[in-house]
Amino acid sequence: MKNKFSRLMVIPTVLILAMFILTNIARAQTSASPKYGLIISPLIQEYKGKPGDTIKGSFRVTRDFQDTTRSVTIYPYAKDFTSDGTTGNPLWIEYSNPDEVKVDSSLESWITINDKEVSIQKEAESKDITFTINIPKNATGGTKQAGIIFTENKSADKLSDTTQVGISSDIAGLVFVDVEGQRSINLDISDVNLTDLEGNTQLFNIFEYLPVTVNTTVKNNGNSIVEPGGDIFISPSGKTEITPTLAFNQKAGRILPKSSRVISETWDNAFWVVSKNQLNSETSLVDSIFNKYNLGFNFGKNFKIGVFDVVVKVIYFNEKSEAALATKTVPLIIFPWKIALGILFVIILIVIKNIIVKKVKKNRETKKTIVKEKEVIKE
Amino acid sequence: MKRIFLYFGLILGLLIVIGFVDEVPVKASGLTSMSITGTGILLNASGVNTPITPTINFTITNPVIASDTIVIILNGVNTVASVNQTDIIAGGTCSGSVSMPSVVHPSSNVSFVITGLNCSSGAVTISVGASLLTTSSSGGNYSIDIDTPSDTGHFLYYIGNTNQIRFTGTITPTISFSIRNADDSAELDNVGGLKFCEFGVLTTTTVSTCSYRLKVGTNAANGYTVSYKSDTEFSNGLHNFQNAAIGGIGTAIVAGTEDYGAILNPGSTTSGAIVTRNLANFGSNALNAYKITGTSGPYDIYSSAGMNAPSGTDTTNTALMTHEVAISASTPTGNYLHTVVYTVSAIY
Repeated sequence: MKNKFSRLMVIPTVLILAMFILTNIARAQTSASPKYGLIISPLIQEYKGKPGDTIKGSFRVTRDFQDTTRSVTIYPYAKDFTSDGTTGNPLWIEYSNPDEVKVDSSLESWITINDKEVSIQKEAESKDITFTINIPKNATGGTKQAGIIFTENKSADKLSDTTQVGISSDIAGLVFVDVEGQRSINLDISDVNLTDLEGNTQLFNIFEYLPVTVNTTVKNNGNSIVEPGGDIFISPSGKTEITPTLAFNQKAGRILPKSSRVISETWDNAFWVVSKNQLNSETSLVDSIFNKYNLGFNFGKNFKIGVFDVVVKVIYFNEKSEAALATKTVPLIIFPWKIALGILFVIILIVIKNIIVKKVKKNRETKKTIVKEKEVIKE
Repeated sequence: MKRIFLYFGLILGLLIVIGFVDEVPVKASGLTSMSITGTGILLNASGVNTPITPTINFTITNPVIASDTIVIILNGVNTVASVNQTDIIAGGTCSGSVSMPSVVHPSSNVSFVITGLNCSSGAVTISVGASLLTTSSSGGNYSIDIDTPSDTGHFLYYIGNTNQIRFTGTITPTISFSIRNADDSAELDNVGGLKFCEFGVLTTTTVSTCSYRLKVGTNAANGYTVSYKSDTEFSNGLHNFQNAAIGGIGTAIVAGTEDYGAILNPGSTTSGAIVTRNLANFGSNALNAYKITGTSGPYDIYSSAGMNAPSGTDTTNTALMTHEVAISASTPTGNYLHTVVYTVSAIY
């Protein structure tokens, strides 16, 4: 009877254990799913308006935390930014006091966030954080920009009971306002430089292999934001190429007023192309020095060796909506000089060897002749 | 009585007539596996005004003999030139020569009346030569009718896009940011909107470290950038730590010598986009470090040229920030701290 009871108890015990294990597996899988923290959308808002206009806009903020129970309160505020002169990364501006003179492109003082404090308590809940832009009646034409920063850190409060680093994780949506009026849009190419896989320039623009990256510094002399397009033509020197080799500004990067930006496009369409090998902590020292690069072959494509002209043509629309063009040309030489030097070295070695062999032969023959002559004299 | 016989006779006669009528053979819709294939024919929607060279496929259960008539009506199909019996080719189980009583002249909704074929039960194909037929200029679902003496069948042939449904969806650009522990297994604790990285009690015999991960995700093709700002030096309010660019080509931080700095390993991205560290502050070497100075920043510390979608626990496509501190015997006592602000945004 006892045995029978024990056997009967095995089944529910196994079932309960199975349920427990399965539940925990399910939980483990759930916890491994990505959690992104605060999510905002869209990333950039662009508006147009006249002096005196009021513009309304919003960003959507979504809560996606692993800790689903904690309270989340967002404190949004506006903050100016400018260009860093080379990239499209916002350079945030810290004014030392509210009365400090703002930058020409300042927008933060025109923005009013409608809710200073937004609570998002449910997991995966989204809230639209709305703002109003009041363009002053005396505003000058051109583009103004600022970011709307979403932070949980109300006043950068610090705890002081332990030795620690306090960290605030802020996320920003960017806002551009193009104000009608005296707008000016004028671009020029201030520099074109060519770099290799590591981002290094080469003496006289002599590269061994592709890829070669064409880095074009475009300066926006006007007061309005520009998103230029255009083409890059790479052709044998002196020959005009009709078909563009590369599109310029493929990622549609913007150039802020009175600033520069470097726009890079990479040319790698050739028979032999160098790529970087993936190195990690397990890579040996020997490999990390000697096997840093990999020479790949693209069959059916040209070698691309010789002297080339790189012509960058930047197209944009000026303040009258007329197409305008800025052009710059730089020379490029692609020649695998290390291989060429190696071949030359081998040829020189062969020539030297032949010369030495000839000399040795000649010496032997001379010696033989002398010996023969001596023998003849003896006889 | 006569009348009764008369009525009975009439009813019987009527029943006999009805009986004969009922016995007239009725065609069964017994054709199966019906389709239209060939050049210019698309399964879901052939183009309008498109030249086609069709083959009509169907399977018969009852045989067809040479004297039988097969009728094929192609609605929604136009003839652009006269079709003769030599333009029609029969295949499958059929033998014999196609015979058409009359030439099919250019028209819309083409009908082919075919005789002369002996077809046994099974798959039959009837093909029309090239450059003779086009689809209608009006899109729609058109019927193709097939008629044999014993069987009949119909199926639809789609021209244009009237049978198509366009599904649309919009993916809005998003950017996300969270600060997590070094293993990327959990978020750092949040107190009053700040996360905290604790060094614990500092001693002269050890170098204390504190690490955390910056986890940024975006579907923006232009990528993202992370900006850094420090409010003060590492300080107890009275004494500021000696700052050093530690690690890599910088100073090797050692126990017993007062130094403070941070090391950034920016990681990579799931899209393979290049991640660039700010050379001015962190250098090009993977172990180069940042010298934290009072109220430094804000400036970008690293950026990605493309998308990134790190997984749940991802120590590859997230950035690892490590603060390191060592004290000397003369470092004043107290609780030392500073606050750093990371701001993530899209690249414009």
